[in-house]
Amino acid sequence: MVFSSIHFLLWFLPFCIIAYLLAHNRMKNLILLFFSIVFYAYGAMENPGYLYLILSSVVINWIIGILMDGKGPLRQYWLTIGLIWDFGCLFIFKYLDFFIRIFNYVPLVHLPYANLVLPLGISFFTFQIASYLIDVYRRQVKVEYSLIDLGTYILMFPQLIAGPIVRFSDVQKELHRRRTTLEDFLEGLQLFIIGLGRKVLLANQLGNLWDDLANVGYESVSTPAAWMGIVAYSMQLYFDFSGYSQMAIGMGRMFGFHFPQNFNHPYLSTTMTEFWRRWHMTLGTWFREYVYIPLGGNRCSKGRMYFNMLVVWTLTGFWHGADWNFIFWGMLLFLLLSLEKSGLGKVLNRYRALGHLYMLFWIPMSWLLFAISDMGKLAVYFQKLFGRGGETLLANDWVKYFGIYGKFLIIGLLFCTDIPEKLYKRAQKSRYAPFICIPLMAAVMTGALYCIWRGMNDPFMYFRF
Amino acid sequence: MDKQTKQILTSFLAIIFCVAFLWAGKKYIWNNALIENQNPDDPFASDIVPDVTGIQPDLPGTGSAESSTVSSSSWSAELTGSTLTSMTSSDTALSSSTLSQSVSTDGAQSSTISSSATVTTASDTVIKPSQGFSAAPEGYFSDALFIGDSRMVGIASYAAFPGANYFATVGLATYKVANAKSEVDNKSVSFSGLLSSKQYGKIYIMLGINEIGNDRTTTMKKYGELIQTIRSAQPNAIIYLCANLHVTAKRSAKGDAINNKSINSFNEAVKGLCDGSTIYYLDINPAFDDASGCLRADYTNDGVHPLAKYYKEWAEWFKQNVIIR
Repeated sequence: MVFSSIHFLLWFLPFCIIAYLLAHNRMKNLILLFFSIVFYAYGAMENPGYLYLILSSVVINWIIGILMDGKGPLRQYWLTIGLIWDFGCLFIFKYLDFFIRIFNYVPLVHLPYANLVLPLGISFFTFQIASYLIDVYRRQVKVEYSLIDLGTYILMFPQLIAGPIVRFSDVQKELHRRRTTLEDFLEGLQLFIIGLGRKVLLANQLGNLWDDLANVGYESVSTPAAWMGIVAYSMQLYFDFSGYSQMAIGMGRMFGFHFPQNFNHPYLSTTMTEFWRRWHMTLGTWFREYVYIPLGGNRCSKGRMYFNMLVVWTLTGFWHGADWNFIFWGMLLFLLLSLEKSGLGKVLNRYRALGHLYMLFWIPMSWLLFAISDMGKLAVYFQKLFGRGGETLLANDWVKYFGIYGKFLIIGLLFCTDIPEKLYKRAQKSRYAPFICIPLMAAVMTGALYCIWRGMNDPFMYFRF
Repeated sequence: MDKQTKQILTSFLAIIFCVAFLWAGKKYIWNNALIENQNPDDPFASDIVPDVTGIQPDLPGTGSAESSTVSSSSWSAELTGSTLTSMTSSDTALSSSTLSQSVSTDGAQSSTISSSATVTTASDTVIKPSQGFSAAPEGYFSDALFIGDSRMVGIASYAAFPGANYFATVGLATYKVANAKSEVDNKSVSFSGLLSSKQYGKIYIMLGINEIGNDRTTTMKKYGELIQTIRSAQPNAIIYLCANLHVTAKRSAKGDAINNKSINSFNEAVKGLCDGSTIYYLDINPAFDDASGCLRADYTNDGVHPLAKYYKEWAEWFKQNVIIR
């Protein structure tokens, strides 16, 4: 059940909110846990085994957390066992086939593929659980004795399947004691609706352009259309992901939680370094806290520091997907970040216009590696961007595409900046706030619902051939 | 009893409750879902994805399973947790496989003749005329009209014949043609307006995929009426009824109305409308099919529409299979 579906918006969420608000304070976590399990069960309907997987993961980590309390001599062994379980699950379900594929490159080796479907949100909840175990081991958080509270933390449906990756220390206090104020609730509701609008009204529409290009075949599109496509993909990715995070944060706020921010207008960055401090911030924090700093961070020799960065960025790439293009993507980021660390960054920060130009080139370029898994197609697309790579069959196809998607591209560009947010914040503070915000939110909600509804009543593009 | 013990005890209660809940759920709810997957006992057995190349990245997705406005992202699989696999990474190993083609005329002989001897490679396509048909002379299509749905739009966009007119819009269906408007020679025209404006020598019709799930009898009646309309306005035109292109095996297996079985039966019905002397049946499918009679996976990205370069090949095929009077 994705957030942008009729089932979620009209049934699940309203019921959940009502039950939550009616419940006694001591029951609120239980209610959240219950609804989260239902949420996951619904999502894993086709693979019910995965519900058992995540529930047993919660119980195992809860037990290991308790075993690590106190001064036991076996603490590090328990930690190791816990991490092996957590990352082992992630490895088997996400990466096993990738490694089998590598082994099968060796002559005479023909291992069968496991063909497992990814469990819903496994990359996200694995990282959350691991952060809990490691923080308990480091004694940075108190051990959670209540399975219900720990389960609520891990399974909480707003952030369960697509982040933000909330660390236990971020929410431990609020897990035990939080207040749901009307202000928080309304603020959360607005965040949720804005996020929904970004996802449904912008990201989905821009995504259609990217699909269109793939359906035409990259070798046949024109160079301007190829650039338009990758720009549209960059925006789709941003609005989709940040919209989803915003919805999660908004729902968290409605329930009284303050999740960490996940995106801070990344496309306004002037360097890749800055970009990754503003894009998927919770993932960056996770890698910094649990990989980069333990390896020595930047408080060691220059060579070692670059090695640490290489490890972090290869892993970051690999986390995003089990395929070569993600590894290459991570490597590209590593290269850019190293260049910036060794001097380029200072230049780009001083001449900000130059920095923006630099990012204007590298953002779509890096997402291109991210977007296309097939190396052959990737090469074709890359050549297309520079006027080569096959015969263009319709020279002014980009005029056609601009006619259809131009308005979304322009609105998208505007929403990549912080102007709309600033305007909205100002409107919220003004005397006329209710007269601006309420109609605006109602319009976005209606528009989004309309788009979703129309999409659903169109049984997979039935009339679109 | 101290607080921690109390919490642990409550937790065990929660586990017991949860297990009972799941047991009940499995017994009364999931069983039904599992039976559909034909694996009532093993919850993991239903998780097999046929395509191993579709290993998924996992950012949050444009929930493609539920809001079908977007099916774009290859990164939606984890989010929806379903067996969606990305179409972008489909294997392209078939690129140099053979092309065989057939065109069948319906009428006195009423037989499907397939010239399977025509073996070519995709990169070096040599399409020869099939029996009963011949290659088009220069300018053959200058008085031709093509009517069709999005696939015809594709042909018009990427492989239009000079001089030919295309009355093609996305989503066109037989029952919609009368009220549809299309851009012909940079003007938006209605169907009746177009027919009365000019006498065509050849009229190609390729419709059906958008109404493949509708009542077949009604649809074929509509199809027949459409032919009547055209015939009365254009008494001298050769009418070609084109078979609907197959979809890929993967798309066909998706479980909705759009599958090759119903496309085949639809095409058979279309064939029945031909008389072999003024109305001819043209079937592109043998040229675009794989061994299992489905559209080749490497010919398309979405499983339904050929890539632009294959629209060109399709047009070339039209050129090689015409009736000359």
